[in-house]
Amino acid sequence: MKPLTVVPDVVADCAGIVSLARRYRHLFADHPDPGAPPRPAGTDPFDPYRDTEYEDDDRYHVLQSAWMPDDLRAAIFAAITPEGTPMGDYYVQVNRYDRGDYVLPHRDSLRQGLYMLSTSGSDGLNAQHDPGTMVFVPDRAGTFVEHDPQAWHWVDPVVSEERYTLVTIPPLPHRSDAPSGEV
Amino acid sequence: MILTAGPTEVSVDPALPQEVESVLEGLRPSAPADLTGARSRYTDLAVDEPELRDRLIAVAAGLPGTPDPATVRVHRHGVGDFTLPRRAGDSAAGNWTLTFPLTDSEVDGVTAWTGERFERLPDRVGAGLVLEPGAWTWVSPVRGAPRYSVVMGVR
Repeated sequence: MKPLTVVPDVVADCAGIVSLARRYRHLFADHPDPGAPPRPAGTDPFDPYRDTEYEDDDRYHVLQSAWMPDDLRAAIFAAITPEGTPMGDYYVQVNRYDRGDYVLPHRDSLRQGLYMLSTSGSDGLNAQHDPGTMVFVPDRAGTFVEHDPQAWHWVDPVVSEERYTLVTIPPLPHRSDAPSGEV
Repeated sequence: MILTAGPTEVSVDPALPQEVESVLEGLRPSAPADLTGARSRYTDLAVDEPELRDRLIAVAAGLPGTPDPATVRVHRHGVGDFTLPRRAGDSAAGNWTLTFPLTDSEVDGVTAWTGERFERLPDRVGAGLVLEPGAWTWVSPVRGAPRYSVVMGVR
């Protein structure tokens, strides 16, 4: 299993990205899908081995790559990547959590980059470092996190009024002046 | 099966946490149900000392049912310890589980399905949690200070 990587201060302008994300709040899709039929009574609320694409047991809001306005995408790349990075080569998604939202424990199938866009004294990511170690990574705006795709990870119900993160597939290349290494 | 967890108030003698800590000898590693590729990390103590066990069982007084003395356990989570998602025990039909912390914390607690959504229930002495058989719970990596909690099955 690839060890957990946590690098602070990778994203240069989190406030600017969050400001744009707030402007485009109407473009976020909700999980669970409010238009989905109600689940039968007694349905198990959680399956740790669910398909990684199934997110309607989770509770958060997603601005997916296909719906992302050009100025927000450009701001994200300008804040993280070297100039000239081809934006079309990366899937980019902004996640918003309102108070009480969460992502249940799961594993992924693809290598991803996670970037924290907001700071909190209470919220963060729980991620597996090795078979016997889970780590809580507190929300600090600008922090980059990468875990093994097969690592278990989750976000507990959020205490803050709002939490923003960015997910890219694969992780973006980082500017040459960005910090590097594992923490 | 409804699979929910419900908060409840319990009365915890203020002397109990220190008393529990003082008898936590002979602790053995936990052997919890794990997820593929990961294992929980905390310490599990079967409370065999009759007087302490009775005092812990007394916390359940006033709640429906009768605690099973054979199931009274104390869990210790050091800083960084955690319990992966697991279901409440359902070894006997109609049984449920009572769990309650012996320590307060601003940052640590239990996450559980409470019927409409998952909720994070911060550790507060006196705040119990009733788990129906099969209810999901977990303890995320502990951040503040060592955490003590009691788990017991109730008939």
